[in-house]
Amino acid sequence: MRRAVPRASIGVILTFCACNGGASGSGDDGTDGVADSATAPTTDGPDEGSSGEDTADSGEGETEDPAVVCDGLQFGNVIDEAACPMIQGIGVSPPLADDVELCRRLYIDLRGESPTAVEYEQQCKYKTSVELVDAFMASPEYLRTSQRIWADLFQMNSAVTHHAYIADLDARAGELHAGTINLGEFAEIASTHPAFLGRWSGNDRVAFAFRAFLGREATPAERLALMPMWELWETRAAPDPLQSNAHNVVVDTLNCAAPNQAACNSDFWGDETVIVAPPVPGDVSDPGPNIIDQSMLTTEQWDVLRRPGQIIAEQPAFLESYVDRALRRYLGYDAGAALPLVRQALVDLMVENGGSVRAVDREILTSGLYLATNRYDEVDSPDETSWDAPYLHGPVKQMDAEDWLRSAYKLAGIPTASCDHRYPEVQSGPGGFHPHTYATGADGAPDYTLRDEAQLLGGCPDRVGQFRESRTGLIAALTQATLTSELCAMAGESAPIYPLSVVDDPNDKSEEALWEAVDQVYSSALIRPVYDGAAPGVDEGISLCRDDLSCTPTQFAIQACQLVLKSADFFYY
Amino acid sequence: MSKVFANRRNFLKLGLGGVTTAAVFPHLWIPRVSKAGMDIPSSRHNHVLLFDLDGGARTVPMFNGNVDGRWNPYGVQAGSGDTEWGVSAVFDNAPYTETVALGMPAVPPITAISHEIAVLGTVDHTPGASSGVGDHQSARNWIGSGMAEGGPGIISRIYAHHKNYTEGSNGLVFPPAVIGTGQATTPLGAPDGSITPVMVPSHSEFVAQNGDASGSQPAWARALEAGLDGYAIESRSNRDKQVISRLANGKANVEAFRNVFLDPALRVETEPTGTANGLSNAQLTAILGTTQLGRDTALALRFLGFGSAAVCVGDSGNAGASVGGWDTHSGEEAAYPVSANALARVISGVNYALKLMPHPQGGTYWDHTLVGCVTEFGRDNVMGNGYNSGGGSDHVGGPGSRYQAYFMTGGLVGKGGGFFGRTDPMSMEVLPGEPVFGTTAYYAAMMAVLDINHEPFWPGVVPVAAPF
Repeated sequence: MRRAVPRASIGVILTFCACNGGASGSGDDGTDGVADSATAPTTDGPDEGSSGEDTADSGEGETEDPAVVCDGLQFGNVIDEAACPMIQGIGVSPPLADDVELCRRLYIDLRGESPTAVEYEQQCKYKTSVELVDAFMASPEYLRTSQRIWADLFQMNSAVTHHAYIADLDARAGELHAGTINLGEFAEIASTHPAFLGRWSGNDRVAFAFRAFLGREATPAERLALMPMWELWETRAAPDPLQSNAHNVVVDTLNCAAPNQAACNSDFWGDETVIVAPPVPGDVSDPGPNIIDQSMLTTEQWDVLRRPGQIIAEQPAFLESYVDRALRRYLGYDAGAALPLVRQALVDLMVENGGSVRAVDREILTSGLYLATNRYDEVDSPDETSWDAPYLHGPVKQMDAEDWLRSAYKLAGIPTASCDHRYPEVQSGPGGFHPHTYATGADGAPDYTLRDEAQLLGGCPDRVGQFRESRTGLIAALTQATLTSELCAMAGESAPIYPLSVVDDPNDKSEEALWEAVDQVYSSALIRPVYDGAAPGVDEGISLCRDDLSCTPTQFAIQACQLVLKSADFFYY
Repeated sequence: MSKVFANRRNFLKLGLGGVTTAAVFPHLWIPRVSKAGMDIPSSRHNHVLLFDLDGGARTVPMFNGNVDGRWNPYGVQAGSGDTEWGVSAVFDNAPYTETVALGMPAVPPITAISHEIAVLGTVDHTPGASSGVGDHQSARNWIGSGMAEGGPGIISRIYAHHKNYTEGSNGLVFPPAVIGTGQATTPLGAPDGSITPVMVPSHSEFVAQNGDASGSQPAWARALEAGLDGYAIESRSNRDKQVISRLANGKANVEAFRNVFLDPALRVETEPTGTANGLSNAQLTAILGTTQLGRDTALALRFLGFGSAAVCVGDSGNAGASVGGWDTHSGEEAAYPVSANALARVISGVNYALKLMPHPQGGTYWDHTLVGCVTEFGRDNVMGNGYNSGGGSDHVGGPGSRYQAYFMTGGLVGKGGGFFGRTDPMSMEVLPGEPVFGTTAYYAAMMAVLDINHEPFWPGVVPVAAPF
């Protein structure tokens, strides 16, 4: 049976507040907050702008027009308003996540790691959801986690592209999420940025510009038709003291010199010609005056050359593409397709805010879709077509491998740097390695320990043969078993999850002692005790341990450390 | 998903003790097999080994060489026996002699075994459509799932529907596996519900895992873990239950197969004396070579030996050339021969090795295995010299990239050396009266070989039967 240990014994971890605008919360036993399915609507408020009193109750046997229901509600968030007919309009009011669930969700999404109990106390407790969102979006970690997404989209890799180009494009992505440039400006810059041009050649430039900014593959016809707008760009080997394999990006004005001007003309999206005339007509030397390094281009020349990005930003799908990606990033499902009115509301919001991606991100993060609890009670069914829609409850996502690893390292008291999302493999030259943010070994070489471990789980991709993915299954489980075994063995006395600290008496194998141990370990990682619903399984484990002469309290605590770090509760958030 | 349902799925995935299940819950199921499917040797004891040439490989020069120099700049050379397909001159024509030092005959080159390889010359993702598929994402949907919109990967489909996993088997059956991390390879392992195959980054990363870690988890810890994960699943929506169940299923498989991971035979590079199915790792190395593809294929043969119904090996081509592996928009002239010969070496090696591996059902693994390939598309947008202006080739959905040449080999292929689906040498359009083979029909043939009824997920698709 569930332990006799009073919850107060968990100490600071168990002190919650209810600052999220009146959230019902799941409390510390984890059962109260399980959202009801559509068959059992509640009348709790969906968000801070919509109190429970405002939510219409359809009443048994009555079906109210969703529009009427929603007309009677007040909304402080365009997503909530747009989604209302599909949620409150059908009589569902998803309960909010409690403080711990929300803190963890925001922390992982915006800071790239799971919070410790101390971090929860310092940065989340007593803050409203809006305060949390604003605080986290003001942090450099928000920029870093956002830049990582663009780095994946552009497949940044200094094995192919000059490291300085990559650093600059990454900085521009940071400016985008800091709000100093808008999405249109970023697209214009990025589509002809040397980091982009150095990474791709031929019609791949069209293909990857489409992927990054229109959210889809370019058709073969589009690739062929639009490629002329990038026709002038080439690369030239230019070894760098810190990167022997470096190439510079140049404009070869001869590619479209008379009589070959048509090679730089595209009539696919209007009659567009992207030409820089050769400064010295007739000179075909290479290097020579008609081969212009991108750093030497004039403002006027850039205005011409950046036309592809300008045109892409004019496409109808341009803003939708960002909105859809942001919805997937924060909600974990294709909300843009499931709730097209939400997508449109965010596009409109983006227009109103001058193409600000921060406005979109913030609106999603403060919406009921994001703030709802992801605990949900649904009648079991193997028929997928009968399943409730994902927007009827809060999001469930799998942690990125790199984020999971860093979180586990942190809990084991071994803080470690992230992978440098710009450079999967740091290059070098006669002057040493180019700049990077990996830890550095005694020989000055980057320490790839975390990168190599993350790659086993689909993180820190090399972007040549491997790309970011969320892995599960046998090999992922085996990898996690190996890693958590090592981490829990390494955890020292100062580690937040130091397993031996939960063993008061190494000879006490009482049920109460073992329950307290597992609760303490679980709380170290998840800032709450074990859910009551999981108690039968824990009881069984404790019982088996008590019957097993080789199971000591110390071993029990160490195993608890391992299995909590790779538990579904920790890995999914 | 009910608890009973969830537990059953977990149980069935393991493939252990399933015989008991079948005995307790007998049922009559008569698979719907198309007429064409009946020509295909079908057995739950068969295997599929599939090579995914990541990035869009130029298969025409390799396997449909009798075409204009635009489409095959390498020319052709003589094949063996009655080979009908055009054997590319890009292939090396010398035996691989590393096996001689081990007292074994040399491995014959692909030119000497071409009569055991059938080729489909007109594989098309979208037969009958006005144009072919020329973009990566659409092509990956097709080759990942056999469907335009994508969906569960075919290796996951096999795991979810193969009788060894749904009904149990007489002995240990390792799950189907995908080896490789390429963007066109991982979709073949996209989950089918909560079912995911074994996804292995590569042979070396596989070995880096510590099988002892799984074996050291005592029963009480497993119970504790199952209790925590069980409630995490139970307290979510059905959609999220399915997602989180993949984690729990993976842990259950670690426990079920922990002894497999400790077998030195799986350490194909680091344990030369490790032996299984009649071959040591040193022999496999000599047979298949030491390229990434060779090592990964060695691991694939080990998985087949442990009972996997199907294994997909992703091949990124000559990634070292930094031209995108098989996706050679530039620099193809240098990269392609390396990629093509690494593949040819492995095709020859698989032919050699499978014939030396005794199969539990009698004969050798060669007799029970279908070996094939898949890739996103071929290449086109080339000039008269066979390349684009960057010395590479593109993929714009024209006939040159649309009609791909896939090989099929193994003892189950009755018409080795045959060439099915001919193209115009100049235009690469399909010649009048020649068949076009859909990618889904190609996969349906693999399902038929494995005795899987594909009708529930690919209704009406007639499997490719010509080479059998």
